[in-house]
Amino acid sequence: MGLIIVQETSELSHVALSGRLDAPGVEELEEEFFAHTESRRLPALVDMSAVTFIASMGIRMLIRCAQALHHAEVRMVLINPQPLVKNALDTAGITPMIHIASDAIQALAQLADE
Amino acid sequence: MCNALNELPRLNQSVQSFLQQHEAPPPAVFAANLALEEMITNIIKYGYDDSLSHDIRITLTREPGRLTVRIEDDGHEFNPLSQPPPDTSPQIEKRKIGGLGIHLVRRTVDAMWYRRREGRNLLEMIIRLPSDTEPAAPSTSNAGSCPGT
Repeated sequence: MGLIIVQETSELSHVALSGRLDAPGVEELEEEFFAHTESRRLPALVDMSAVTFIASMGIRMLIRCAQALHHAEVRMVLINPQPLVKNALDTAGITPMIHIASDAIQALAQLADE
Repeated sequence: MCNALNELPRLNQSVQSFLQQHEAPPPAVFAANLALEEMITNIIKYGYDDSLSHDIRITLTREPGRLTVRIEDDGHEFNPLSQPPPDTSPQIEKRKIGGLGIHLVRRTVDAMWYRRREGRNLLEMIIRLPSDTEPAAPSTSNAGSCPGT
């Protein structure tokens, strides 16, 4: 699993994940992911377009981050997950509580609607 | 394979290689990967109380119209079909995190069977395949065994 910092400002965190969000992948990058999202306590965009696979460990990582940001009264938006990844998120009941946008512009618009 | 999380990448490679060789469609590849990831991780994390190496046997079989994933282990008795569904509450502040793995697999594969026999858990999962991708003959792949078991 890979993580790229797309943008980090005093108002927003924007990261991009890639590869497999499975047990080994999450173990490899979870701390870094939380450091650039949850720990900053700012609205967060998470680009999922290059994530090829997601398992429960990956979904748990996203839920944990979203819950922490919710406590900080900000939101996380996932950007453009691949169809099979989106199916897994739907099956886990994620999509009603973590918004999904098709691109960064739509994601920013969703955050601005808060 | 051995009951160690660091074996998972090697297992993933073997599975990918087999499924690519048999031109399995992407949804079936995803389902097989998910089934193995979730069930094997559970066995490794919760199946044993000792620090010994245990052999987890994994078999993939490609037949007309279906892919069968079989997992056999000598861990604690555990029937994934008897597990209660997890919390899928839509309210983020109330959402509990656990129990998702088995739920995902049960909702993703097309059929599951479990039985306990002679101290071993036997789990079989079926993933249906489109009929236009049928192989000439059934083909089976076994993940390598754990040395020292």
